[in-house]
Amino acid sequence: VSILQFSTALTIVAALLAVGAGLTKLLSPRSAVLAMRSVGLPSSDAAVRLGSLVECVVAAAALVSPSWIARLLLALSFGALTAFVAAALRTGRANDCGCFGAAGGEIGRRHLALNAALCVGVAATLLGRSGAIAGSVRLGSFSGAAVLLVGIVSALLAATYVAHEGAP
Amino acid sequence: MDQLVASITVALGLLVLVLRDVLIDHGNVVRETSAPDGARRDEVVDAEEVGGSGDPTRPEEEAAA
Repeated sequence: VSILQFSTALTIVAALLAVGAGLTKLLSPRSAVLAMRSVGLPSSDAAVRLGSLVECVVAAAALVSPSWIARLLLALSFGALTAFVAAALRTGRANDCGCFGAAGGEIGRRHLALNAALCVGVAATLLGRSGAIAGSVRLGSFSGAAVLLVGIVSALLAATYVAHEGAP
Repeated sequence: MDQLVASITVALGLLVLVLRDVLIDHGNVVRETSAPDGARRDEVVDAEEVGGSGDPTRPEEEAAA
């Protein structure tokens, strides 16, 4: 198992997490609006919904597009989210990051670490991978479907981990 | 197949992090103890053993009442 395969696994988790977060914010953008305003960023329901739509498209493209540009955009979006959580931690004015809409998500060191790890993981695929992740993993095959299933479970575990920020 | 192994490893790592929360939240507290060699160690004990409610969201005073 190589570093590239671990970074591919992290990219699958990041993309699925981004799709889930994007969909929940499309349905209920309010908590994201409040979180963004708490760090001095201008925001509105329409802006968050538009951003969420872009997030979903970029995440899906990172999996299925043969171009490295979508993966670069996904890495940059997780980098921006890391900076946002760091800023929110510094101001201390918001508890809910708004990442998962009404489902909640707490601002804290776990969120910071997870975003940073996913940013690095996605960025690492830019160094060694060419072609679409969905194609190389062969999602149509048994092992490809298993990789996708494990990725979905991992994304749910990552969301659960972030949601329990107050735990030890 | 290597990709599946890498994905499962990532999933297991996340599972350990989540399970750690679940196990510690489930009515246990951590007590610092002295070892014979003088070193300090953390020992996980049952909350009821030390007079707690077992519910981390419930204050100890309320549990005692």
